[in-house]
Amino acid sequence: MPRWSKALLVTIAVFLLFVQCAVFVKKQYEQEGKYPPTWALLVSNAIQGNLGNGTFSNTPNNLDLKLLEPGDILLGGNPGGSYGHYTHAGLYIGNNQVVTMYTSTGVHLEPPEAYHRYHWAAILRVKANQKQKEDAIKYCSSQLGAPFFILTPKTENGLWYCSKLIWVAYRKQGIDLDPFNSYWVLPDAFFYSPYVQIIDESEVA
Amino acid sequence: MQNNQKDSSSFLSMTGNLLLIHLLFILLTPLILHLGYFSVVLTLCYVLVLFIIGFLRSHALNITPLKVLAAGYCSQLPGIIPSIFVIIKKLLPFPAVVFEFLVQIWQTPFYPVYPLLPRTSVADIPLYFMINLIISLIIPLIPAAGAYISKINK
Repeated sequence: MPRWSKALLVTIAVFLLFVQCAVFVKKQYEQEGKYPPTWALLVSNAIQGNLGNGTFSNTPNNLDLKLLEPGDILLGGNPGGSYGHYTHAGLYIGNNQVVTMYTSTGVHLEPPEAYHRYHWAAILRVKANQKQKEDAIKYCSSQLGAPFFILTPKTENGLWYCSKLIWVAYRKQGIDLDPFNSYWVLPDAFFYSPYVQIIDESEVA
Repeated sequence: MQNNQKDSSSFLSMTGNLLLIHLLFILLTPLILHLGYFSVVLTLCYVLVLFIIGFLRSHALNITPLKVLAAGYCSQLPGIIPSIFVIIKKLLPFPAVVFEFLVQIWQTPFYPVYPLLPRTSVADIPLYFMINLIISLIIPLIPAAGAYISKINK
């Protein structure tokens, strides 16, 4: 057997072992009622073919958008999403606008009604004062047009994914919204953060 | 017959080299992104490595710049194919989100440069994503340029 094919077989074996390990770790954490490590969550979801935001709902959820205040975080999630229960996050900046982003759009504005498309959605209020919220909004707005990149670390390097931008914006105000402290900050992290209050949750029946 | 076999072996070898280098830089880039804006150096290194590979390997494998160009396009197929699906996404009966994801991952070595670009859009597509869609067609020109310069220096 040529040397390169041996190396290929070893690589495949190591990869499969890593995937099995991720699935096992995720199951163990879920059985114990704990949130799984990010790497285990992402790998086991990806191996099941769950990439991106999952399948959107045909009927809107009933999230009460009238409750929104500038500085609030909007979360949305679908079955088959890869990044956890909630797969998308946006920061409400007032005037019916949310700072958010997707792979092909970069950082941009969308109306909060976009969160009605998700199977489940939530409004979170950050336990911050008015000045901190205004500064977080200013920071997010200053990044409009910046590129989206899912593999970027939490370092401030001009590359963003939806939850990283919100996390950095509030981190700059002295509020760390990531209780998991992992390589990525996922939308679910905001939901479990002790620095937020859940204002409303809705799920399509 | 033997010459044909040698030619195809050289071509495959060059394609393999370019593919492996691209994969290596995909793995390296997320690590280097911790350096913030300095990570742009890695993208410049990638371009330089492509040029050097074209310059040196075309000489060693004795293949023409045109074959190096063809090898470059073969090595970039994992970027070219999903880009085509993204471009024609309005004609597809299924969402192109997975293809956008694949294009993004494949073009990882160029992401350190994107924050330095102007934040404009071309035909409603952000400039950085437009570059993502077309860069796989430009990358093969770099090793081909290296091979061409190697040939005229002979």
